[in-house]
Amino acid sequence: MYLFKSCVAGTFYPGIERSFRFILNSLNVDYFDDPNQSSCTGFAGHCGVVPPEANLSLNARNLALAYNSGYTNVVCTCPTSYANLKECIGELNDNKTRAAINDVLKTVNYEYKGGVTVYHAAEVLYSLKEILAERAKFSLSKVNIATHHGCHYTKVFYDEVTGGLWEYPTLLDEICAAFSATLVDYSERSSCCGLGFSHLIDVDEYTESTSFRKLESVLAEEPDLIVTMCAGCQLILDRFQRQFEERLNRVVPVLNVSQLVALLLGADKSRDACLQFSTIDIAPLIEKMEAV
Amino acid sequence: MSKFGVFLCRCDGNISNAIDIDRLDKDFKRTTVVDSDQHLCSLQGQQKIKKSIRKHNLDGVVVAACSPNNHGQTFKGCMRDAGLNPYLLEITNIREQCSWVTDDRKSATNKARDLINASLQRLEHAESLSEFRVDVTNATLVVGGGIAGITAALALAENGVKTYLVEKEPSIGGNTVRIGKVFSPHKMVEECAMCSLSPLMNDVYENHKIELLTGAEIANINGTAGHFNVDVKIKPQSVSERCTSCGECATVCPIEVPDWWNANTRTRKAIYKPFPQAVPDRYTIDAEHCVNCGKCAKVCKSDAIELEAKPSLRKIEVGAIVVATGHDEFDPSLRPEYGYGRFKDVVTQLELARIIGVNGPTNGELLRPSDGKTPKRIVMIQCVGSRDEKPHGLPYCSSVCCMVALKHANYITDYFPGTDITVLYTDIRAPGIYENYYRHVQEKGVKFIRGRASDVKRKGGKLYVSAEDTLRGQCLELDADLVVLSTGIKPSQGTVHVGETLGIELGDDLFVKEKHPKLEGASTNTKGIYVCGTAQGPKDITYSVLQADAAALEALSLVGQDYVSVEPLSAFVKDSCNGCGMCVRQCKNNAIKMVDRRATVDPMLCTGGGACVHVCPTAALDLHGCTEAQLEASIRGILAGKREKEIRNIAFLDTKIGYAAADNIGAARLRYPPSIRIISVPSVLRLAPQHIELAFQLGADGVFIGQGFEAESCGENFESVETRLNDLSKEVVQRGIDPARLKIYRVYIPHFVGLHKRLMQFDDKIKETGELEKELAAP
Repeated sequence: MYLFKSCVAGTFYPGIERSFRFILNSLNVDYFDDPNQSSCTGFAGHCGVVPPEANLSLNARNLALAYNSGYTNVVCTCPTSYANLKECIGELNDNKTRAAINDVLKTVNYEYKGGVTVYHAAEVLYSLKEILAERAKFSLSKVNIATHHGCHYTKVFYDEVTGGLWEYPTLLDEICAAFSATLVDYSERSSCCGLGFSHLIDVDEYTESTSFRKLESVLAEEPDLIVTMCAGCQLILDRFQRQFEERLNRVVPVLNVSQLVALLLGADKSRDACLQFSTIDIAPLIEKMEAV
Repeated sequence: MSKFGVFLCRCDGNISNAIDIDRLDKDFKRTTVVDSDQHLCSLQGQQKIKKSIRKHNLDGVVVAACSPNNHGQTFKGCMRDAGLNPYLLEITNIREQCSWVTDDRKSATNKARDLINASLQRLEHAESLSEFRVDVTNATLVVGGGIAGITAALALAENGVKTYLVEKEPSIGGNTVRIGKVFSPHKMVEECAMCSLSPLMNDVYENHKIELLTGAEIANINGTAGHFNVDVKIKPQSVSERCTSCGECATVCPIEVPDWWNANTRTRKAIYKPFPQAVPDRYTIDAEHCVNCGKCAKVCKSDAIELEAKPSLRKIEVGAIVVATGHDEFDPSLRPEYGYGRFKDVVTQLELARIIGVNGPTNGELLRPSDGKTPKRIVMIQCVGSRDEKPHGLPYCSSVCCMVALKHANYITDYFPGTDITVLYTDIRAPGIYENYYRHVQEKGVKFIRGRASDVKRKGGKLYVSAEDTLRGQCLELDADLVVLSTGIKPSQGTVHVGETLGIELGDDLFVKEKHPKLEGASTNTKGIYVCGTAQGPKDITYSVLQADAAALEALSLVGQDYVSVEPLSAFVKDSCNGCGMCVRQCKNNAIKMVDRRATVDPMLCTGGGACVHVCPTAALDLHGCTEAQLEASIRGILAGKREKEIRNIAFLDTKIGYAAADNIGAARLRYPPSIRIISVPSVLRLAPQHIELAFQLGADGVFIGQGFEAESCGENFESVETRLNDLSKEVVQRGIDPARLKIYRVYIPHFVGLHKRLMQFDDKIKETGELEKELAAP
C-alpha cells in the first residue's frame, strides 16, 4: 500500500492521516510513506490555477514513484487526490498523451509505465470492517451518525463506488454499522458540502447557502456525529458550522472515518486523532462511545 | 475450364457509395461474365442473374452483395430457377464486412476485389449437393403463458394444430393479470384487463388441442425446423386436479410470503391460488417456502394434496416453437435517489395498479402504504431506468410507461376526484391515436412537467420530489403524499433462459432479436422458432397480441407443410477410410457410426461443425460446404495479391455467432481497417494447425479466431471447444509462429462492440509488430 498524502488533510486535520497510520500499524499492514510524493495539486487544478498538463505530468511522476517503489496500490486519504489520480491514469492510457508526458518526465529521470491502482482509504477500512470491529475497544451502539461521502468520491468515478450506488453510497454507513452505530438518513444526503473549490473563492454566498442547506437537513435529524471521508468536506462542515450556529441553534461534531475508527481502536485523542484541530467539540461524542 | 459469373450489387448506394462498382465491373470483365444492379435482391435483379446464368451457360456464380445472412436463400432460389445447383453459389459480403466498415473508397474497392477473387477461387472447388427432406411434425410449442403466449396458442389450436403451452408460474395470465386496467384511446376510459383476459384463459383450458403445462420450463432442445425434440422440466405437481379450490388449505398454512401476483403489495400462503380466475383453477404449493408441515393435506377433503410429488421431465416433439416469455420490471432500488425501499410511499406503477385494483390489497381504495391515508398529491416520475445510460440503466425507451402513467392519472382523476397529479416526464410518447388520450388527460387537469426528477427526499415526515422544469429553466421541489415510479421494461429471466436454451439470437439489450426489424418481426434468426410480445422488445398489449397472431401464422405455415428441406452441410466419408474409428469417438453428436468396418455419417444428426475432419489419420473425412479444398482456396484467395508492405490479418469466425457479430459491426457502421479479412467457418473446430500455418505461409501477418460464446460445436460444450482451441494454439506456436500473431477470442453476439474492439487491438498490435516476412528475414 502506497500511502498518498493529502495537502488539505495535512494542513487542516493532521489527525486524518495520523489516524490512518495508527490503524494500519495496529493491523501490521505494510505500507510505504514516501517522502518524495508531491501534492496532487487537485485543489489548485479545480480552481484553474494549475494547468492540466502540469497536473498530469506531476501525477505521472507520483504514479511512477508508486510503481517504482513496488507498492502499486495507491491509497488516498483525500477523494480529490483519488479522483484526480484516477483521471490522470485514464488520460495516460492514451498512447499519444503518455508519450508526450514521458518526454517531460525523462528530464527528471522518471517514466510512467502504468501498473498502479488507486483506492480511497475508506475503501480499505470498508474491506477490513469486520476485523476492525472485532478489535474495537469502544462501541457506537449509543451513537446516531449521519454520513457524508463527498462528491469527488461518489460523482466522478460514479460507477466505481464501493458500497451502495453512487446516488446513495453506503460505504461509510456500513463501516459505522460494523461498530453498531445507528445511521440516520437526511434529506440533503447527496448534496455537496458547499466547498465547490473555485466557487468557494468566487461566489461565497452560493457555497454558504449550500453548506447551510446541508447542515440544516443533517441537524434536523439530530445525529451525534457527521462522518466524512474528505478533508475538504470536513473543513466546511466543521469549521464553517460556527457561522450558522445562531441560525441552527445547535452544533454537531464532524470526524473523518479514519479518525473515528482510530478512536474506536483506542487511539490517543490528541496525539493520533488530533481532535484539538476540530472546531466543534468532539467531547460529547466521546462520552457516548461505550467501552467494550 | 469452368465459366463463372460475378454479380455486383450497388445496394442503392449502401455499397456503391463506398466501393467503385464500375471499376470492379471493368476489372472482372476481362476474365469473367459480370453484371451489376442497384438491387440484386429485387425481382429485376434476380431476373438479371437468372438470365445471365442461362445465356452464358454458367457453371457457378459469385454474388457480391450484403451478408449471406440476409439474402442467401434468395440467391439460392435464383440458382435453382435457372437450373443451377444452389451450392455452386458463393456470396461475397461486400456490405456489412466491406463498404460499411471501410473509410476510404480506394481501400474498400481493393478489399472488395480481393474478397470477390477469393470467392472465385473457392468456387473452383464447389460441389453440387442435394438437400434432405425432413417430415414435419404437425404440433407446436408456445413458451410463456402471458397475453402473447395465450393468443398464439389459441390461434394455433383453433387452426387444428396440437399445441403445448408451457408456463413457469402455476397459472397462465402473466403480467396482464397484475395491471388491473387497460385504457381505450377511443372511449377515453379504462377497462378491466381481467375481463378481456379471463375468457381467453378459459378458452385455453377448454381447447382440447392445447396441452397446458404449468410450473414448467424448457430444459433442452435439439432438431431442426419442422422437427424439434424438446425436454420440458415440470415442478412437482403437489396439488392434483381433484382440488376444488375450497381454500381450506390456505387458511391452515402457517407460512406467509410476499405475493408476486399482487406485486408484493400483500402476502399469500405457501399453499395458494394465484388469483381467483387462475387457470388451471386449483391451489398450488410454493416448494421454495413450504415447510412440509402437512397441515394442508390434513384439512383437504378432496385428498388433492400430494406432498411427496416429484419433479418430472416431459419429452415432446413439435414442428415449430413460439417464444412468448415476456418481461420483468426494472428494479427501482437500482436508482436509490428515488427512495424506493427507503420510503414506503414511493411505489411503482405496477404496485399502484394493485392498489387501485378492485382485487388488490385495498380492494380498489386509493390508500397509501405508510399510513393507509388517501393521498391528495401524487407525483409520477417517468423513465425510471429507461432511456438511462448510467450503470444498470436501460438505454432504450420502454415504450409503455407514458401510457401507463396516463392511464393511472386518468383513472384516479375519475374515481378519486380532487387528487392533484403531476407527471415528471422526459418526453411523452403517445404515438398514433394515443395522443387523443394524452390530450384528454391534460384537459382533465393532470399536470405535466418536462424534467427528470433528481431525487425524492423526506423532510419533516413529508416526501419532496426535486426536479428541473426544463421548459421554464426552474428548479422545483414538489411535495407529494405518494410518489409513483414508472419503471422500465427489461427482458425477463425466462426470456434470457429460453434464448440460451433454444440457441436463438438475443440483441444487445437481451431481448430476442427478430430476423428482420421491418419484414420479419415475428421470426427469430433460427428457422422454425418465432417470437412475440415483450420477449422481443417493450410493447403494449395491442402490439403483443398482433405480434402473437403473426408468430402463430408463421408457425402454422411451417407445420402445415409435409416436409422441410435441410441443408446437406454434413461430414462425409471418402474411400480411403480404414475403419479406425477415431472419428466415431470425436463426434459428440453420435452422428458417425461404424458400418461394415467403415465410418458412416448420419447427415440428420451431424451438425456440420467439422471437428471430425482432421482427426482422421487417412484424410478420409471431409465436410460438405466447407471442404478441405474450399477452405484452402478461401485462405489462398483472401491473401492473394498482397501488396508490398501491406499487412493482412485473417479472422476466422464461426458462421452462426462470430460472423453474425461481425455483420452487426457493419450494421452499426463501426469502422475497421481493410487489413482485417474475415473467413467464415461452420465452427472453429473445423480449423486445424495446418490451416493456420498455411495462412502464415501465404502471407497472413496475424490470425484471429473468434468462437461464439456459449455456442455448442459438434456436440461439444463451450469449455471443451476452448480447450481444443488452446491445444490448437499451442501446436501452432510449436511450429514456430510467434504467439502474439495468433489471437483467440470469445464472441458474444450482443456484445459485437467487444469483437470490434478486439479486432482493432489485434490489428494495431500486428501493425506495431510489423510484417511477418520482415520478422522472419531479420535474423
